[in-house]
Amino acid sequence: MIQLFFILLTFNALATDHLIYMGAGGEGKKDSTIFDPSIQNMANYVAKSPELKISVALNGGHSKTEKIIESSFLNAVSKTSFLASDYKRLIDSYKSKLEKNEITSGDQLLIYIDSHGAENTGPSKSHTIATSEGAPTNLDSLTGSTTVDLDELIILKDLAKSKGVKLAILDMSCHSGNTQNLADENTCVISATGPKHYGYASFSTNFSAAMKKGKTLEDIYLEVRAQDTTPALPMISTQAGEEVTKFLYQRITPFLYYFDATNDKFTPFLEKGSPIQCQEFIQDLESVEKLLTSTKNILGFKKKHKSIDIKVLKRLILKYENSYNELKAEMKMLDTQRLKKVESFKSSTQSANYTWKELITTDFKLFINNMQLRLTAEKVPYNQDLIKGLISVYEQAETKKNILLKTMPDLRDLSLKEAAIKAKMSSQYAQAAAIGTEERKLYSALYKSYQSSLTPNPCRDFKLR
Amino acid sequence: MAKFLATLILLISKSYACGIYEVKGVPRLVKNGIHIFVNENSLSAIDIQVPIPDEAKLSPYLNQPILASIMIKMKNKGQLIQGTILETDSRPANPLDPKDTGMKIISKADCQ
Repeated sequence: MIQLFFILLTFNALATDHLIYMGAGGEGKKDSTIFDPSIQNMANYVAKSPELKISVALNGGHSKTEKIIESSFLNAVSKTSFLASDYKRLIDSYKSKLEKNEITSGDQLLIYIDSHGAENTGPSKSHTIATSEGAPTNLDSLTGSTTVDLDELIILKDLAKSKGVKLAILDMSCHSGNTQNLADENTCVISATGPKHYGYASFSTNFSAAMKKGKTLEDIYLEVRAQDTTPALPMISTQAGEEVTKFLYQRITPFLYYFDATNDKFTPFLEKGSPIQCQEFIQDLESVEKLLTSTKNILGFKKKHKSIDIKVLKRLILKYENSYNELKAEMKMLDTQRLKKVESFKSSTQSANYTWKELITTDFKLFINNMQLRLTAEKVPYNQDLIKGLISVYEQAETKKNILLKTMPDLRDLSLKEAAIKAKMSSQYAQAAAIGTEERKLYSALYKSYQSSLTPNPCRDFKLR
Repeated sequence: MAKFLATLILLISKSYACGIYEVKGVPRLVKNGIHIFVNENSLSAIDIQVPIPDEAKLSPYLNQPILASIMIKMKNKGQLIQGTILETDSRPANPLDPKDTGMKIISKADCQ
């Protein structure tokens, strides 16, 4: 028995922890990145773990960020920028290490991803994240940034499983809930937010700060999630996590949306006129509150103990519903969907499609005047025909514009009215964040009620050493 | 001296390979049509001339920042280049980064 104990002890002492730390991509031209605080925290964690084998691929081109990276991760096997080629090289390198048993049974491999992440629009099982190349102009699609697909990690996941290597994928990006699809009984996946939600740098900053020897990934996740005060929706691939997500995700999702001038999930939701199931949600919450209330008998007196108090959450949800319905009614009155209608115009040489919004905001007369001047100066008959064709298209568009404005005069200042409604929405972030904060309490209570030591749990089994 | 300067300008002028470019710029109406201006008011300013049929695509975006995918079929040297528009969309101006403009090659192609 003692021998077995010593064998196990020796086995554990020989096991190695590996870390792939990558990301910080998709940031514009500036001297720092939003990822810097977590890079610093990870640097501190790595400095205290000299036995940790680490590969770093983080964005370059930002002087302050580079300074942190340069002075940290001194024991890193490799330290590069985060281009698509670096991502591929890292996967190939760790694939080879697993195949050659350089990373072997009992070892742990942690893949920490901290970058901008896109929504999943298929066919990826997970989603794509930004590399060092380019900066996204749209945080949903990551247009403008070169991206890599996290599905490429599947090869490492399958190999780790077959070799008995514990694997954890921590995805701190926006829409990282999609990465939950990479989880299995050997792979723990923690996401900073839901599949249809933005993430916030604070989750990664707090997570990396909480990483200490002896803690399990599940412990850190629960600790950091409980502190979070953003409209994000952090997720974990444990059975308890999945159960809570099943109950909470669809119900809470719309209440975490808010209006933002550049990255806005709220307006499309509002424009669709999607209903929010407020009353049903509150009824469900009341049932959960009842279920999580126990009665204790103290000195003959019965005392109720609530694990969760939904009073504040209920009030916030009702407040959100009121403002949502008010905005929905105003948007309905404006009927902004009209602006998306498309009209086609054609001449002998040209054609063009314009939405109603484009028609009413474009000064076609300006272009007609410009084209007429060019027509008198143009000597090439082919070009003359093209110009004449374009003048005809612009004239048709101008006629349609005038008809629209005559029959629907409210279209004239529709964009201004829409902007005024959006300005009203600007206070929504605080509302969504307050709901997020209350959601954290509910999540913690629910998670605790679902937790079981009997079911396999790769996030509990992954202990930082 | 003038000859020397002209030669120097030719030597330092960047040449653009043929292919598809992602362009962040602003369409403006000039005497001979709508052009897309990239890196305006700087030494690296680029003026992209588009064919007449493509002007219709740009007209709703006049004087607004756009993100466009542009095909360059001829090798261009200097500040005026010619390309056809494959796709275009408005781009929210980044008030924190007024220099958020430029062009980068997405994929190379053979010149015509």
